[in-house]
Amino acid sequence: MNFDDQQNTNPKLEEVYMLIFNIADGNYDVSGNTSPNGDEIDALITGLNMLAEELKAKFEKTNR
Amino acid sequence: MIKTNGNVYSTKSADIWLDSIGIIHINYKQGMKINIKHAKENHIKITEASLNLKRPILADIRKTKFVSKEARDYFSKHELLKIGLAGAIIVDLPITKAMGNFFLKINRPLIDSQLFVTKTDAIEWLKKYL
Repeated sequence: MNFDDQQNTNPKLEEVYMLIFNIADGNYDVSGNTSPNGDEIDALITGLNMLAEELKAKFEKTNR
Repeated sequence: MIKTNGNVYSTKSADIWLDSIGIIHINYKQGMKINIKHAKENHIKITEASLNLKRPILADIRKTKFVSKEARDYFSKHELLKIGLAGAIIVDLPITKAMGNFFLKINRPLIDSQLFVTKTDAIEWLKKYL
């Protein structure tokens, strides 16, 4: 499925997809924006941001 | 309501005080993204407020926007052992629950720590460590 082709996709879900794709691609410097609502999707974005940080640290440690 | 036992130490990211029963309170400020600089500054103030004794710590992260990996590591590892007996983290919205759960499960603090949604429950739990 190509998410670029999706119509009316929730912008916050697009943020989630963007994070997943970047992390899967090894780009751990990525960071998603959360809304002031602090809802479940914001929680998911926050979790992915933290995951990216942890993977970056592990990757750097392994390559030292 | 449990009152402060003296000074309230205000840093850029939090208000910190020792209450009258011996629990250290850290109330993080609205919209803060906590980084390592904030963590170190708060550590100094927690030590001052604690009167150099290890105490149970109640951290209210409900208004926090994010806590960086460096700050999470700082407060989950050895620095926390120097100042804390146990840690209760107050969360509310899904975003702060996610931060709290991530901290407990991935960063794994070295002292006994739990998440709570009310301050009353958190204080009751921390009383075991007084």
